[in-house]
Amino acid sequence: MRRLKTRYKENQWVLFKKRDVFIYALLCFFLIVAIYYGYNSLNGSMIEVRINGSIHYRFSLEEDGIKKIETNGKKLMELLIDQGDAKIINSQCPLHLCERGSLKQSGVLVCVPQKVIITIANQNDPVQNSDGIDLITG
Amino acid sequence: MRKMSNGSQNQTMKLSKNSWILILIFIVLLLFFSVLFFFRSKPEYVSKVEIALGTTIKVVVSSEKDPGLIVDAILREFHRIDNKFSVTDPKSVISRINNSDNPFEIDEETAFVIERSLALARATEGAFDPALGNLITLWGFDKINDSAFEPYIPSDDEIEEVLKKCGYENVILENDVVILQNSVKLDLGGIVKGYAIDRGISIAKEMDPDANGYIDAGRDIGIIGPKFGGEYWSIAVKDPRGEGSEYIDLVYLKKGTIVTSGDYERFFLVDGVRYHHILNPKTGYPVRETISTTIIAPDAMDADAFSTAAFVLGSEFSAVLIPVLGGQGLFVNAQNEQTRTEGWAFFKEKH
Amino acid sequence: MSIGKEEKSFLSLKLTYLSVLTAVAITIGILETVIPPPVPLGGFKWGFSNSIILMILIIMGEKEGFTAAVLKVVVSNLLTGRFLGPSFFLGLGGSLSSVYMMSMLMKSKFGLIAVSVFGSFTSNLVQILLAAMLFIGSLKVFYLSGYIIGVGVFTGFLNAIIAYGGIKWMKQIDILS
Repeated sequence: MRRLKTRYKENQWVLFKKRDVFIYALLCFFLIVAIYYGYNSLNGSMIEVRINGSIHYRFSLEEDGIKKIETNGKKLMELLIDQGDAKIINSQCPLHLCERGSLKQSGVLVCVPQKVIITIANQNDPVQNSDGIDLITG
Repeated sequence: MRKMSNGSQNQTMKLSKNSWILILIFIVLLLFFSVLFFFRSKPEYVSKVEIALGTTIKVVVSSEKDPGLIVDAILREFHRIDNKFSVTDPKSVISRINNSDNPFEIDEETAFVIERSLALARATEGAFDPALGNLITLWGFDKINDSAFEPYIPSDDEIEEVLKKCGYENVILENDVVILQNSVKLDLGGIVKGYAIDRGISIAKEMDPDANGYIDAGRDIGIIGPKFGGEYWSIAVKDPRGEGSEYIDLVYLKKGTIVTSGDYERFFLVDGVRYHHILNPKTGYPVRETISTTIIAPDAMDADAFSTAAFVLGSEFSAVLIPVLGGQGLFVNAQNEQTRTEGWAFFKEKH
Repeated sequence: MSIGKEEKSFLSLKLTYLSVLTAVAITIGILETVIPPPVPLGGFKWGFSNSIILMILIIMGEKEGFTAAVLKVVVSNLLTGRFLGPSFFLGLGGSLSSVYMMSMLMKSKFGLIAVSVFGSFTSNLVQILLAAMLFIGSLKVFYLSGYIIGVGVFTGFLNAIIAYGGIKWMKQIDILS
């Protein structure tokens, strides 16, 4: 019976050879870079609270609870952190417009009369390449 | 036999060439991933949010030259314009004009803004009026963003009295001098945001003609340049009676501006009745027939004034007037019916 | 270039092997579509059919490997009705670059696991690159790349074992030498 002769001799198609280490090292490097890149591109998990332009508070999105936001002894509002999201509650402003929506929904929470801006830190790319909506007018 | 040795010779030569190609490929891959490594620390777009002009200003810029610098320059300009044209700050130019004796000498920029305002007032037959300062103060809408705001409903008589001290016809602009007759007071709130957006865009283009991004000033948007250099920005128009994430339309812009006026932006409720900041210059009361207007126009200053004018004039008339003035619009009346100008459909497609 | 009788029968033997193995590769390629892809990109495939391609490379060499790869992509996409769809272009790019890399590595005498793993890595990398350039229009998908590389290592490892085992088996039942 005719047999087909393999192109590569027996000893050439072993599973492992010493020089394979180069490949593995290269792949490790690629893997590390790729993971680092991916981790940094996703949303960070720190909330930054700015009053009148300067950062006054930093909270973690992972720490559920109610945080008081005050300045010069005067209480301005409270921040409710729950399940990776945050909302403003009990604000001292007259119209309470800032209590609408949540941080993950709008990306920013703002109280204009009290000059408070709350954002997610390390939000690397504010522009997503999705087929979704970039901006809202209204 | 000869064939075999030739073959093995070819094989040895091929191996070396092979190894070189392999090494080359590895180096290319290494470079590629190193570049990836650098890209993680430099986001393509820089975004910053600050408070100015009584609302939140979000500036998003992408540029080969330092985008952070462009963003900061735009925000500085917003603060400068805020201080200069503010109605509440007694040090602002507008306040000084309002509180001084006539005639008042003004600088080029103020003259430009006032002149444009008057032209737009004439073009809209007073539906947009930059001289309603007294009326706005009576209702308290000039202080609505301060912590000290208190809702107040003026009486019919008070409004009638105050209306005598309103009206753009009383503003005379001659060379570099402005004269206010009949004690009218200027309030450029209906156009200043648009002016700031236009200024922001031209500053960005000055610093880098290829910059792209947008300025979102309290949901009035000015496009600096197309997304990623060539794509459309998808812009949703908020449902005026919706619960936050409901939209009534979706448009695509690569340039230009889009501005919305709504009765839900600045208002207060008394006994369940909504009193909002867009006042009918003839009656002195908040407009009841319209709940939201959205205008697309090349300049934000125009769009800003148009959206106020369209609000006052109503859907039917605005559908005809706005395109004549150079804009396109989407208007929602009090019965929640939507009207679009003929050219609006153009923006619903990506061309 | 006249072909002698010896060579003729050798060629027809090769042809038989190539045909059968390619058919197996195509089948695996089609079956792969059933299991959910590891990545939420359109047209992305696992890549287990590369184990057969690797076998062809070992048994017959570069030319046959390329032939099999091209046939695999074309036929499997034709049969599943995805011809000229995203999975066609991604598959073509991925398979061809993968065969190229694997044959280079084999000629440079690397071990099978390394060859196969790097082959899968290349295939996946080229697939995301093509997907990013042709369909998504942005390189931002690379934040998925770590995950994709991991998948590649996994598939590559399995492929090496399959190829090795397959050849050993064929030698055992004495159809190969």
